[in-house]
Amino acid sequence: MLRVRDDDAGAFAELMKRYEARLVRLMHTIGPRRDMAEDLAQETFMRVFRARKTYEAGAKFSTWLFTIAGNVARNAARSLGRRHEVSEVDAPRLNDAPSGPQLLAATALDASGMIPTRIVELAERAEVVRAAVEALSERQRMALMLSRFENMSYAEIAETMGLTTKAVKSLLSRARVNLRELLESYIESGVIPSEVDFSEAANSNMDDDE
Amino acid sequence: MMSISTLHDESPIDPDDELLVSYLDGELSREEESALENRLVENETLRDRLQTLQSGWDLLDDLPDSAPSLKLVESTLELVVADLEKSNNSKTWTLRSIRWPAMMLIASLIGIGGAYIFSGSLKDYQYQRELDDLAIAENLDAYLRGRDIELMRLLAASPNWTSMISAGREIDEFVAENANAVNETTLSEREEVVQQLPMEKLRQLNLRWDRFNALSEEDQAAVRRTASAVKSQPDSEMLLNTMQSYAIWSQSLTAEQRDTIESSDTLARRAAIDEAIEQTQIAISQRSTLKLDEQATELIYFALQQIVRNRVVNGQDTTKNHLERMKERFPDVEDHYFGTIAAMVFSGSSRTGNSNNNSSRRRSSWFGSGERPSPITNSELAALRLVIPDSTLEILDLIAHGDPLLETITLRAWSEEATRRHFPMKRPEESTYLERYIATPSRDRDALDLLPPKEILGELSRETPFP
Repeated sequence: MLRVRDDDAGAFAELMKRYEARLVRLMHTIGPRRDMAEDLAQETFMRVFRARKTYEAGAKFSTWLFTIAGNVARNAARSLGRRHEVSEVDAPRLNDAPSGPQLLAATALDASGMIPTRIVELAERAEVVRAAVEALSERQRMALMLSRFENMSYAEIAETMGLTTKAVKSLLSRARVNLRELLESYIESGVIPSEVDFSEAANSNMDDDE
Repeated sequence: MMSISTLHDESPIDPDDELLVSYLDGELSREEESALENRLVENETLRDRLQTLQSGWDLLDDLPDSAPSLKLVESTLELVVADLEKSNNSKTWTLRSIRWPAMMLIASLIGIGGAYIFSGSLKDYQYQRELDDLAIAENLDAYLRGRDIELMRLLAASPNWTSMISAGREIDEFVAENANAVNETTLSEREEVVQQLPMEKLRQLNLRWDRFNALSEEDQAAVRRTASAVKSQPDSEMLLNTMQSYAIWSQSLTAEQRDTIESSDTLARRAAIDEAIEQTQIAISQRSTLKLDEQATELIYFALQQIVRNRVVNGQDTTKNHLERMKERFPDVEDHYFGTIAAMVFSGSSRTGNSNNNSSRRRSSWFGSGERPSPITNSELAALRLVIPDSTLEILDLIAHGDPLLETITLRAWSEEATRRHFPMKRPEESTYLERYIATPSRDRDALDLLPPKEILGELSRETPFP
């Protein structure tokens, strides 16, 4: 990053290559819409670049990058929310098409007449997990991604998200407990029960984020 | 409908849950950890809570991959250049390094041949040296990432590496794009070759050239030294090939794996190479489903049906009972066989790839309850070989290269894929208006388009529009 700060274009390309996959994955999860992930990753890189002169030697680059990413995702959610005339800032992505929690619940229900559980049995667990993650609040999602996929400690997550370590501890505990609740029946039986409405969980978190 | 209430950001949390999560995250002090472990030994309920907290977490392994498009870095660099030019802040950048992409972009936009600009500008400064550097820039990643020649030799000599690369190429991975267009030409031919490159290749070469020029003088000198050292080796061609493959492969590794592989600790390096190669081979096996054609998946699915029939004939109760239940639920023969095949195939699903053992065990239990047919066995999977067409068998042999574990993983992935592709289509009465509209033959669709909206819906609601 120090080379980028000193206007080294090659170093910036290297930096982007090193972080692009991780950043896109993060944006897939915390951004307001999955199809915006790459655009948001690009916006994050642009902000990093524009702010390169303010980067301080010794600061951990990933912490800085993911802090900016969190801001970019939140701003995008806000402007998208305004466009949709939705007042919730950190709402889980209920407007998402085509496969947010609502759709997942709806899919299970639609199928219930004929093939109740088969759709999900068919290796759709990735969708199930994603729907469960989307039912978490934006802050829980962010903390979860930094902990699970960036292997950040509570202190590093706290620094990235501008929270106390204690708040991160509580946030991650709630995220884990929520995932346990949301995925319990799936873990036990491999089946997502049609009678469970993930969107209810998402709605309740939307209220929370308001 | 039952709803799940989740904990909001401000909801109170059970102190034991918080303690268990901190334990799983390795955030407890030594004393707290010991105290909790003592409680865990004595308290089964607490142990169960710990396990369920971890199992939901393990499922995150299954979040879909997010491979960014190849153009992300490239297009961001273009934006950076535009940004710089806009703010008129180019003085501290190497002029050549930022002008190239912008010029190329403008050239491509207004239809001026990029080759002309590229080659014309090459003449401006240190012509011979730049032509020399251009061949180096073309393989910049290889020289940057694969600069440890001894490591490259070690890899090239490893049969596992060779197998992995050939298996990867079978599914179009580890192919260094546009890596030898300039490198394989003499200096005198180079200008002409560059001028004749197609726009896309030229653009890629230009980006690499830009990156090379953006390196510090010291780094450029180091890259030149590496290139020169490789060139002087008797096995230079093999070395460069390995470096190109390594540059691509190393991007799929974690930073920790890369560091260990590139470290000087010989033992750790070898162990890390073996582990990373194994991981990649498993990933290749799973991604090889992309290469399955319709004939192969049809035959594999047919064989899976036969396996279910054999199990029933041989009196295997779990399969028989499952099939009976499916028959009660789905009158269609295809459907109830499909249900049992899916339960059998996905029961045994456990990706060994990037997950820990705990999560693999957990996954295999999802479909493994007593009421389901037992998972497809290795010998049943091996029997699939008998029906797979020769051309597909060649792919299998290249991917597994005789390793029974890889062959099993590949065949399992193929069985899952064949089953997935046989997912029964929705019945007409379940389809949406849009799906019915799309399914309408084009001549009838023209007639539909001319109707008032209400009548369109009416037509689409009939069993057969325009009978």
